[in-house]
Amino acid sequence: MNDIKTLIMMQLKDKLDLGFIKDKAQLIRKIVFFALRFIIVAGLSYALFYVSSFLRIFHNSPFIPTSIMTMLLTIILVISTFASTNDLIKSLYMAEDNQVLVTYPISANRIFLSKIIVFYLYEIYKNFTFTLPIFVAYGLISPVNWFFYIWVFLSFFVVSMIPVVLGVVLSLPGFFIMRFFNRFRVLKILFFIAVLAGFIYLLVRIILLIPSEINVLNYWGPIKVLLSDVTMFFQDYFKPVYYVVLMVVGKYNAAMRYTYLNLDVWLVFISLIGVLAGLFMAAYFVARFLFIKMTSASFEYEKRFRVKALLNRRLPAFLSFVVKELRLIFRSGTFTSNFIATYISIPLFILLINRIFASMDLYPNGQFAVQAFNILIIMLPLLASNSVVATMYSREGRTAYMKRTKPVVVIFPLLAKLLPNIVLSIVSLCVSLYIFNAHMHYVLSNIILLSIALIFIQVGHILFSALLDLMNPQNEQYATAGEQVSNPNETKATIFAFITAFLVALITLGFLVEEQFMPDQSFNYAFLKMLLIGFVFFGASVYMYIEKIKAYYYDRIS
Amino acid sequence: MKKSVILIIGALSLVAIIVIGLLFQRAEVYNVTIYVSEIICSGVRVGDDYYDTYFDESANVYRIDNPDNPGSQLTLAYAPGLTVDIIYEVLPFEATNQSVSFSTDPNSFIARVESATGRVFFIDEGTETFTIRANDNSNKSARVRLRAKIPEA
Repeated sequence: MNDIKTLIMMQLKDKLDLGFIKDKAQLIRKIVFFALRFIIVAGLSYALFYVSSFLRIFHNSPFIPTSIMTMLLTIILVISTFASTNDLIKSLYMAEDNQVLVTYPISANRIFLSKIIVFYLYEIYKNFTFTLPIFVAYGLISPVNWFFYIWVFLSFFVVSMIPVVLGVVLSLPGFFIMRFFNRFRVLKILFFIAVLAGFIYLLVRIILLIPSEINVLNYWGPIKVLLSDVTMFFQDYFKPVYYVVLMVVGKYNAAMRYTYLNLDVWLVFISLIGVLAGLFMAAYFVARFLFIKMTSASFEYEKRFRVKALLNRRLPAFLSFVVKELRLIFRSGTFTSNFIATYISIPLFILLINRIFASMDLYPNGQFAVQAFNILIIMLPLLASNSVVATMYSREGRTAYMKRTKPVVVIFPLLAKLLPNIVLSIVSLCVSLYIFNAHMHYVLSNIILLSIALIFIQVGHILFSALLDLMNPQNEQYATAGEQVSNPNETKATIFAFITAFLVALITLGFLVEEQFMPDQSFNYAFLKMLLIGFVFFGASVYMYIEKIKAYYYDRIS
Repeated sequence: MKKSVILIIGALSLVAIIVIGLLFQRAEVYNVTIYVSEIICSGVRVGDDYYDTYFDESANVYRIDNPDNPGSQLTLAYAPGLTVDIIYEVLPFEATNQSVSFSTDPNSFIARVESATGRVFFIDEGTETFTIRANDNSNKSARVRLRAKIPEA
């Protein structure tokens, strides 16, 4: 048993930072932080339940029905199962550490089991910090039995098994699908684009469903009926989850109290354990063979790449670096998806915010606030996403030093690294401003001035973030610790992003109020002033960026 | 982007929508009183179970629909402490005063009802009729008939 324990601890250290266990002060801090997090989630949930109860939202009754918990648990379980499946595919069959673990004096079965237990423990940790406090808050507002407060903690050890066991089962077909896509990369890209396009289309359709007039007071009756119907939908169509909720909180009986003195509750408990055990055993015996096959397969002589002879094309120096950066970006899936998620989500979010504000009939001061808030919501995520830029040069690790040996102006490789972000963020910014203007109806001159001003600020901030990385490089850390680096430049860039975004929004608000500008008015000096501020910020960033490159790459004596 | 940044942006947006909506939205002035035109009993809830109702035109009352035999009345299983919530809707939804009161025969030995919430407590098995009355001066009401019986062993 000790060997499994050692394996689990080794892998847990990778997933969770367990350094605090040995340090008493850190351990106490962690426990206090955990308790605080639990109390905050439970407190917020209780407040929401209390408001729902006070407003008699569900079926005109102060009672919060079990169907609410069914709805919440369904959503949580679906997300957890997807996340577990994805992580398990990578961790069980595709992890690089398998090739090291398999050399240990322990059977492959035990390695396999230890990996699943690690996931189970991580799921317990996640549930105890989020799902469990919500259930405790539900207990506080509902007529539950005293036994609930003991049972809810115990039952979550079983509930946490659900996404892990389902993940193990789904990881089998998932692995083959992933392998198929890895073999046919064009299909993978097409599938990814199709899913992304479908998702965006669906989101836009949902956002456009927001009515043109939102007056909660007027529509309170139908809204309440709709909310009750939605929760009942989950209770009727997600029966297995409803039974899990029944097992946790007890059966709400005809005397309007939750009770565990009911055969259903214990029948569900025993059945759930039985089903999970059955599913796990079935998946375990199939997945184990696949795992052993994958870990024991030879990789030293594996022919991984088909080498294609390509004609060497001579490109201009700067373009060569741009092509190299683009290739690197497309090879790193996480990096690409992170950026796509950020740059696509901003215009969608702007659409959502503006649809909501468009349905409100606002006073002029409200109009000023909405315009400034739009600027804030466009700039905040854009600038905050630049924190990754503050790590870009360092992420190259020791290979970064090669830049000094290349017979080109050093600004070429440095700027080429930033170019994809600059281009993508400008596109995202322009689309966001187009959506913003579709709701505001600015005249052309005003929206163009505003767009250029914001582009200046965005590019200026990218250069500033890159500058932080130049001045305090973390290459050695990335070279030794991989991706898991707590980078001070990233934190500084994020803080600066928040300050800049809030300042830009406040300055915009100030100018709009000063000029008493309404969206349908003609050319306005407020935007010319914005452009000037943007230009000064951009100019200062460019100057500092070039000066620091000179200092660090040409003038420095090492 | 870090999760904490996403959380901050989400929370900020929610707060901004509420604050701008509360502070800067033009208030609507209602000069006309809209009276309740109809009260519908949409269902009843017994514990976790929700039952639809149907309108029995011959008796002019709402009854619980039997899911196994739609269009016929469902008899509830009586047990001491049996409690039923009457679920209702008021039409039109923009009625100025949407509150209602529930009542039943005060001398009934079968069930009593909470006037404000519509929560019915059965005292004994049998059939009882409950009235839902609008609190405005529209004089609109609806009646619900519930039957509870000790299940046969």
